[in-house]
Amino acid sequence: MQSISLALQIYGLSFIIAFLVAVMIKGLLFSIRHFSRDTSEKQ
Amino acid sequence: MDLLYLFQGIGTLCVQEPKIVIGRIALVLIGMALVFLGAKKTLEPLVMIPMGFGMSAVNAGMLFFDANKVGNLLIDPLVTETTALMTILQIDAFQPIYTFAFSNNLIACIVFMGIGVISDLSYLMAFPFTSMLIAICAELGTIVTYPIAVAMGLTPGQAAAAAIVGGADGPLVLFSSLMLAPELFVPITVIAYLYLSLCYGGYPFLIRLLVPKELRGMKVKTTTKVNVTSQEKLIFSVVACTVLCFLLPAAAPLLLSFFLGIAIRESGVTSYINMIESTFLYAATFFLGLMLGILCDANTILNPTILPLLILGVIALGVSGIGGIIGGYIVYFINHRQFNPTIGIAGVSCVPSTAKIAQHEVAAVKKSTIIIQFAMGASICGVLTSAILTGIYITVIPMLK
Repeated sequence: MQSISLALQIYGLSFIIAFLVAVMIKGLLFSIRHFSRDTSEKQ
Repeated sequence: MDLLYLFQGIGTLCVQEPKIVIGRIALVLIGMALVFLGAKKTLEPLVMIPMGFGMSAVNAGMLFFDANKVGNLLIDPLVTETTALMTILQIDAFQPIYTFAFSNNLIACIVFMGIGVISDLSYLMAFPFTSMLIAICAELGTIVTYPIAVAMGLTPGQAAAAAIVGGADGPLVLFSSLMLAPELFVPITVIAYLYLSLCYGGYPFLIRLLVPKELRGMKVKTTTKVNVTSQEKLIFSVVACTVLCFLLPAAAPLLLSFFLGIAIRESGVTSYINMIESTFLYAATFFLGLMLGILCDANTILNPTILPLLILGVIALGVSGIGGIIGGYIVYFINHRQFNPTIGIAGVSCVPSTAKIAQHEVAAVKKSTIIIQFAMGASICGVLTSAILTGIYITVIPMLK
């Protein structure tokens, strides 16, 4: 029972980290594109 | 002259226990079969040909040492004492490669760097949530196998190392088994590579069983344009590497290697790309296969835990495959039935084999359907999620002691 609970906790944790990586990708792409647009508009 | 002492490979068969003798002969024959099947491309030739040669040679080339002790002049995987190691380094031919590249995970890191260099992050970055969802579902085997392994009597470290076979990534299995269960890393890694090689044969049946023909042939309809620049991929690789190393320092060597490979690819330094892709990756894969074969001597491989490991390996990879297809179905329903669930199998990682299997199965139903780019995105994501899970296991398991 303890091992099942541990496995589920590990799965939950990896799910959260994977979700954070996905959010990070979206955030990075948004920021990079936003700032590069700003720079090109100023030029 | 005692002929059995002259031809010691045969002579040692006469003095060893029957179990070991049968094991040695069987492993010689299995080694030959691996070379044959590798050359025929039924199994992965890059690993299986050197592995088969090593396996046959180490089990044939046994000789008598002092006091009738039987051993070989290739390698001693279990030597731990420094003075003994210094002596053995001068005697055993492949010991330096094993000690300085294999047992410290250097080979795993080089292979991971090579995987990074051949990985294109475009589709992963264009569809991060889809790719991550599929990849995390395809880790189901890694989770399900752990409690089963504990119930079968393995220690938490051994159970976790066996469970990571479900991540379907050879370097990760090698890395985690050396960290968590060094006493079992030879059988676990050998079984993992054998089963990964067999994915080519097994997963197509799983796809045909779980995905109906009309769904297998469907095209992925999407309005999202894939225009991720090299600069964006480079920035992501640096940021993701740093963030994940902060979260999971236990997996830092692998994360660094993988993301460095990606950064080198995206920076376009051709000389580095060629060096890693053509020289390092192939050299590391060759020596990895050879070392795995040489480590398969009957005394090491005939461990009582080998049978549970064989069963756990099948469970881990089978459940991960099923989990991947379930992930494919979840995305199919979320995307209003505009997604091909076959892509789910690619989330199991094993770059690029699973993506190729998915494309092959789809093309067998409808030739004009191309899903390889989505499958590669899921597959590369599978490498990332496997590394994340490995990092968590390596961090959490020692805390249980």
